[in-house]
Amino acid sequence: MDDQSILTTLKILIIGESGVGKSSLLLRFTDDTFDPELSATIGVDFKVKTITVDGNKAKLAIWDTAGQERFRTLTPSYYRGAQGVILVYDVSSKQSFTQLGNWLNELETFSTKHDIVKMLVGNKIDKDQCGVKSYWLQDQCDDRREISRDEGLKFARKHHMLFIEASAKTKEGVQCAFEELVEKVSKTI
Amino acid sequence: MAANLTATTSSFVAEVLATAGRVEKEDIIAKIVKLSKHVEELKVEVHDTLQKNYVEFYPSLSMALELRARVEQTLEEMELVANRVEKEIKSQLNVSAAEFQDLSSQLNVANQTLAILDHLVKMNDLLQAVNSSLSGKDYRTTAESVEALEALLSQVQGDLPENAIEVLTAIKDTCIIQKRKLMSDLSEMWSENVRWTLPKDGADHKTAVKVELMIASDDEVKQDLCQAFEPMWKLGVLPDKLRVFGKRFLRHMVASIIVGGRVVVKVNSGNDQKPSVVITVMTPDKDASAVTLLSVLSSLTGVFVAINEHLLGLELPNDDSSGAVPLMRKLGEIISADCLDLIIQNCLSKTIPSSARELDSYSDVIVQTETFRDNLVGLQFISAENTTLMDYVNNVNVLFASKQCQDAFENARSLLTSDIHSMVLIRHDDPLGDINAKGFGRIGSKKSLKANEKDPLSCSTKLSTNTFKMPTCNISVSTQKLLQLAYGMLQEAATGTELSAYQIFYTVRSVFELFCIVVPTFHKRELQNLPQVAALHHNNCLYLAHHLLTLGHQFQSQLPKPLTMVSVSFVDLVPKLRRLGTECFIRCLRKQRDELIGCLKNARGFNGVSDDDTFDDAQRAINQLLHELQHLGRVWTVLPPSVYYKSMGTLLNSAIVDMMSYITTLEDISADDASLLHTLLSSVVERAPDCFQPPVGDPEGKPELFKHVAKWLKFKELLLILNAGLHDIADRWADGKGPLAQEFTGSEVKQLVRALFQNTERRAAVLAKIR
Repeated sequence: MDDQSILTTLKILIIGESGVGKSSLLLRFTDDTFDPELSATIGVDFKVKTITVDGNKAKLAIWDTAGQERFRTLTPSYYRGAQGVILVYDVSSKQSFTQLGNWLNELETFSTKHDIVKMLVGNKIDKDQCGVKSYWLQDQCDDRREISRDEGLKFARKHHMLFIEASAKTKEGVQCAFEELVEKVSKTI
Repeated sequence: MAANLTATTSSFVAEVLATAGRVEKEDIIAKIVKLSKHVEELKVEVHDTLQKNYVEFYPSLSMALELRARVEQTLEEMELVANRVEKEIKSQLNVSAAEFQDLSSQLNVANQTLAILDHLVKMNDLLQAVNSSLSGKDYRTTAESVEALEALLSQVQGDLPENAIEVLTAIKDTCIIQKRKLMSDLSEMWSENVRWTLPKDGADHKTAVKVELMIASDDEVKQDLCQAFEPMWKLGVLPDKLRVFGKRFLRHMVASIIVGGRVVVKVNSGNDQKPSVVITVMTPDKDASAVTLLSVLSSLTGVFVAINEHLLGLELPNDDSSGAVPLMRKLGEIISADCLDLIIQNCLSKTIPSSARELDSYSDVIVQTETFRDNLVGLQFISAENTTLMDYVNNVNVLFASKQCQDAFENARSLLTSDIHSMVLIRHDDPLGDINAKGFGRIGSKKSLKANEKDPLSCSTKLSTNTFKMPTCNISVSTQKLLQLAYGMLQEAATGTELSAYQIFYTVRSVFELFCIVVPTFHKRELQNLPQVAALHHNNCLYLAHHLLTLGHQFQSQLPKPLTMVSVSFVDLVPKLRRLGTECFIRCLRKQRDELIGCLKNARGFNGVSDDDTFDDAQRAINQLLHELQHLGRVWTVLPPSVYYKSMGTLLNSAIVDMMSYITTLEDISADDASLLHTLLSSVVERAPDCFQPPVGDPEGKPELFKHVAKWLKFKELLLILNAGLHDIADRWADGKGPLAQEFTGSEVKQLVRALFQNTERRAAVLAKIR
């Protein structure tokens, strides 16, 4: 049975502001689908996926949390035992980026492992093309990039996080984000 | 050495001595001669003396002794004679002294008899005088005579033993008879001239009652009456008459005038009847409501003046030196206190204002009362020092406060006992509510709705942050009114005097204390049985507590000094009110929880639901549960949103925990059972959110249950397990890192897996993973 070859189960958490694409990233990763009309996550969502990194199989127990304040449970108990966390922001939303501090704060407050591996993901880089294609319409276009790659990288370094830019829509960087995280987590065990 | 010395000197001494001895010898011879001469002289002298003694002294001594004996004999004789004389004269003296005493006592008796006879003569004279003056209607002389006669009688009786003289008894009797006659004559005379026509006791309230007082106004009669007053007074008739007169006057005239009786004073100078004055007081009809203080006081004055003019103005010559006293004063001494009391209690007390505005116009009442009082003083009905009436009206601030407080208590009580059900919405941004603003205009100072916004009061209740805001909820109308009452009263206190402020402040406090006592008692059954009433009561308590936190501070600066020195606070009542509200609601919650759990008892423990009967029972139980919750969800929308969600969430949580405790302990769940259980539990998951009606004032609408129902996620995991394969369960357990592991313990999951799946290798493998 393939189950036997699985070394370990890793608990991965996805957090970040409402609407940055946490569920989309997860769906792209687990089911390889994309739904632009995905509704807001209520409470918490859960998926299991087995991946092979460096020849080792790992089973990921991925918790997708609600970004919207009103859909969140009062005590975020899902932080308990998490080994890796994916902190997502939307490169086209300055607000989602500035809120990262708060999320890190919450993570510090509730995580039970001090060596939890953190990965910063700047999602929706597909929207960058909007700005390039219609340069003269940039002011009217809400969807253009607002956070540069460098800004993201700086923030990640500052807080000792892995960093990657991705797009759940175009598939770009999604698989890589999870793999890199798992690789790092596997090393800490 | 001494012997030697003696031997050497002896010859010298001998020499000296020899010469000395010669000299002395010559001297002694001379002296012996002299001595013998002297002895001769002494001899003669002794002879003489002896002779004198024995020849001359003894004979005289014997003579003296003889004389002494004779003197003693004579003395004895004299004593004998003196004794004899004394005996004889003493006896004679006694006899004459007794004689004298006899004589003098006879004289005394004679004197007494004479005195008594003299008295008797006087009495006779007096009796005759009485008789004649009585028939001549000269009451004053009669009274004087009777008085003198009584004085004499008592004097004579004091001197003599009882019944010593028979005629005295007769005189006494006659005296008494005459006195009685005099008294009856006098009182008859009074009654003839002062005649009352009173309503019969039975016909008191049915028809308009008429009271008439007829006073003879003939000058002659008046003269007679005036004359008769002094004897009447002396004999004690007048005080009695005045007392009766006063009583009737109070009961029938003053009392009915106060309730609006009409006064008619008619003077009969006609020929056919004796000239007289008739004072008539008509008791008003019941519906005669327009009674003003002025009309009452002027009617009263009219009656007083009329009576004074024709009867009581007559003067009574006083026996004291203080001069003549009008009868009115005497009447006043008897009834003035009662009369003033009556006027205060039934007339002035009604004029006490019940609002500050009326208080301003109260000076009219003071002026009217003062005029009335001056009139009474002028008539001497009350003395100039009597300030009862003025004390009362000048004390208007205190009376005003008392009346207000009394009104407030009455008002508060009726509010406290009124329906809890009728409710009003309180918004968090408008803590006093819409109605309240209008109410303020009605109760206290007149302020428009817009002006109210600038009111320091509402400013201080409007806080900038949500922190201290009363959440939006429904409260009873009566409670809102109660609070308005309190605000209104404190505003009155702020404008009033110190004394009334004190009283009002403590009344307001008492009103809230009354709330704590009356409401739980009066509405006990409703509070116990009706969830919505309990919720409203809870809101009411919190609402009042919310306002009481700041109520004191809002008025602290406006209240009179001494009150601001002590702390004007209601804060001590806050914990009490909060406890009252929460305890009541928690009791209600417990009761509802027990009812929900009671519903689930009928589900046969969800054991073997594939059996039709069991399924029906389980379904019915769940339907009942949901129905009950739905009902509570509707009636509790009156609660503040947070309390609503918490209460509903807690109840639903209790219910699902109870359900899960049944299902997780089942030994065996067949595939049919599992799918039916899934159906049943799904209906809860589907319908339970509908039980949460978004309460008033919650902008977010229907909430997510997992936020308010602690075990909601566990319930959903259970639902998943019931419908899942072994693989899915293992995935959701995810090595203790999945959601299933978060909600369930390993043993719980194992138990469920064993109940749900047959004993296979796969099952064993999955069970092995779950730790």
